[in-house]
This record gives sequence, C-alpha cells and structure tokens, in this order.
Amino acid sequence: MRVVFSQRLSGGFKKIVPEMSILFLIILSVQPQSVLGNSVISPFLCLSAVFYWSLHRQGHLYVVTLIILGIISDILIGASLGFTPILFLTVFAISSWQKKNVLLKPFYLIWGVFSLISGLAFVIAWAITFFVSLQYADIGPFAIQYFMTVISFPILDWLLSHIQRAVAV
Amino acid sequence: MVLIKLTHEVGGRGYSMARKPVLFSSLVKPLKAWWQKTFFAVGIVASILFMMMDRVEVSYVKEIRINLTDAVLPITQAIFHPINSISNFVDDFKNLNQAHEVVKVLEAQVRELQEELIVTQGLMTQNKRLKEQTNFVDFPDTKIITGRVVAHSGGPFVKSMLINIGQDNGARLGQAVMSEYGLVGVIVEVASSFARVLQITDINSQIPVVTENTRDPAIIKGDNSRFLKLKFMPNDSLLAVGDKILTSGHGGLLPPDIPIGHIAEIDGTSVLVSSLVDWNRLDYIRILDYRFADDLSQHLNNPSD
Repeated sequence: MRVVFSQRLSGGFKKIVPEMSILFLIILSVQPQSVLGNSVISPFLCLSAVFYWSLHRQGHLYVVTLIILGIISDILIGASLGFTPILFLTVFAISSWQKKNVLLKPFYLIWGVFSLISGLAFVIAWAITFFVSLQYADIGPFAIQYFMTVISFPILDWLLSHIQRAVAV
Repeated sequence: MVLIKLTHEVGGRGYSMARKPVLFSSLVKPLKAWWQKTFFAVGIVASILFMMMDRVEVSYVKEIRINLTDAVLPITQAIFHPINSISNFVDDFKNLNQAHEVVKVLEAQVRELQEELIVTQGLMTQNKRLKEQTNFVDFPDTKIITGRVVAHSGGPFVKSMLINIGQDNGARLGQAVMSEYGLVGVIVEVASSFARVLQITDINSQIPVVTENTRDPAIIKGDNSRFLKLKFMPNDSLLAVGDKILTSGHGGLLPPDIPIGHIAEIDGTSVLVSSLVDWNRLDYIRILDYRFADDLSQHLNNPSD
C-alpha cells in the first residue's frame, strides 16, 4: 500500500516537474538579489523553459497551467494580466507544431529555431507594450533581453536536460 | 465459381474488419488535439480580454490582482529566503577582508559630516528665523518610511517593483518612493503587506519637474529604457548638459525638489535625462509620506474646517 502511494506520489511529482521548473525560473527572475546578479534586465529564462518542455515533454504541459504560470509572472513583474500567457502560448503552440521537424536535429539547429521563436515572442511583447500604452517603447531593452535569452539558452537546455534525466520525466 | 470468389472476398474483408481493434486512444487523440487547439484559442482570447480589463482598470480585476499578489508574494519570498540568505552570507564573507578599509573610510566621512552638521544647524536656525519674519507658509513635513525591494520586473516590458511596505505600515497610493540618491517612482498599488512602485523609467510614468538652475517647468517621461525624456518645456528654456532635474510639486501629489536626475544629452528638441538611482543596486527604498494631497482634498471637501 505504501509502495503504491509513494509510486503515485513520485509519478505525480514527475508530471509537474516542467511546471515547477518554469515557476522556479519566474520567481528567480524577479528576485532583486539573485544568482543572476542585480541586473536591471535579466534573461527571460521562463520563456526558454516553456520552449524546452514544449519540445521534450509536450504532453506534460497544458494550456491552462501555462496561463496560470503566465498570470503569476504578470503579477510579480507588474505587467497587465494576460501579457505573459500570450507569450507562453505563442511559444508553446509553435514549438508543439514544429516538434517533429526539430526534436532529433543537432543542437545548433534547435538553438536557431529557439532564437527565431523567441524573437517572434519579443516582437509580440513589444507590440503589446506599444498598443497597451499607446506610446513608443524603446526597442533597445527588448533587444538586450532577447540576446541575453538566446545566449543563455544552451546553459538552461543543459540544466533542464539533466533535471529531465535525473527525475526521468 | 463466381459465387465462391465473391464470398471469399467478402469473407476476407469481413474477417479483416472484424479483427481490426478499435482503440480508445484513436478516438480520444483527435478529440484531445481539437480540445488543445480550442483551448489555445480560448486562452489567447481570455488573455487579451484580461489585459483590456486590467488596462481600463475594472475594479474587480484590480482587486483580484492585489489579492493574488498578496497570496503569491509570501510564497516566493519563502522559497527564495534560504537562497538569498546564503547569497548574502557569501557576499558578507567576500567583503570581510575589506571591512578594515571600509571602517576607515566611514570614520573619515563621519568626521566630515560632523563638521557639515554644525554649518547646517546654523543655516537651519537662520532659515527658521527668516521664515518667521516673512510669515512664510511652508509645505507640510514629510514622514519617511524605510523598506526593501522584494521583487522587480527584471525585463523591458514594464518597469515596476514590489516593496515590503503595505497599507499596514503607512503606504498609500501616489506616495513618492526614493533611493538614497533620487526619486525611484510612485506607489500605484497597495495591499496590506506590500505596495507596487511604478518606476520613473516606465513608459506610463509622467512627473512634473523643474530644472534646478532656471526653474523651467517640464514633464519627465519614461520609455522603459534607462534614460528619461524631458517633454513640454517652455520654448525659451535654457538647458545645458549636467543640469539637475527636480520634482516641481505641481499637482500636490509629490513633494517639491526631490532630485530625479541630470540632463545627459540634448539633441534639438529631444532632451535625455539620466536618473540618479542606481537601478542595479537598488535594495532599500524610502517612502515619503507627504500629507499635502490629503490636506488639500480634506479642505476641498470641508472648506469650513
């Protein structure tokens, strides 16, 4: 009985690892004193995590949980509610759609695809900022965060793949 | 012969159809795919609707937002408390070997400040006497509440931060928030245990200011970058790079003469201001509890008082 319960518990934990890792990265990115340093702009790590899990464990990510995680992110960063869910859902939809064409390709191609998809997400983010405030938002900070996100992707990919192997998600 | 052949064919087909298993997953899979697609569309539409309601400040959306933040924030703090503690300990340990030098510098600064204090006290007495002689109506005193930044936006989408001072500690909407050097922003959301500060660099921030030397009025605006833009200046204003920008106090919401920044660049009609706040090391903040706005609204409501 105990074995069955612990197996169920570990099975349940494995199922929520993708969501938990995204949540952890959301919280990490808003910490004023974090391992990322006290930078004004830090990489959009949770977007990279959404891309990673959409490719490698699509079945473990759900639209509802992505919306909830996005709303938590909006609450913490102070963006309009619904802003981050749109970015998450866009990355999730495109990654899931192109999964078969991308998954078994060499890493540099996956990285290239991520840079394209995240680029689109940042263009959408800039457009939303522009339409919501009806003012021109400086492109510079968006470009900086985009490059930081793309550059940090290999490290995050390595980290998440190790987590994936360790807990056998 | 023909009959036998037909029977065989039909039978053969019938046999294969009967044996082919109808899997439950083959029925569920397309349904699941359809459901995911539909839910994706619903999610996008719901997100857009949420954003619109948040933008037009529908009261219950604002309440939901405040309540959710109140619920989520302690959890995030609890999760990162051990990590932050270790990080602080490592930083302290790193700085330990510099402690002796730091103490020496601080001692020198204390000596300088003690000398300045004597001069300042003399000036304050003189100032007080002059005010009494001219019947000067002063601005109300400003109380200071000190707190810490608990979360910051960390991206280009929005420039805001959460601080650990809430309604219970005296935070109110519209109060100015300062670092040790200059204005950080204005409180735009208050819950019982936290408040959200809209930074002066945010695209939605607009503050009435004056230049220190010429007292030219203007509006300072953010655009989510690290520079601020000076707008609506008088045509004959004489500005120079390095001029200090202060709050004007117009409108009564913010106290006057809070330092904001220096003019960093003038290019035709475009004036860029560099903030005095060190955004990379912003940890402790001070709320200015400025009573003028409250007094003004009270007076307008009860003119007989």
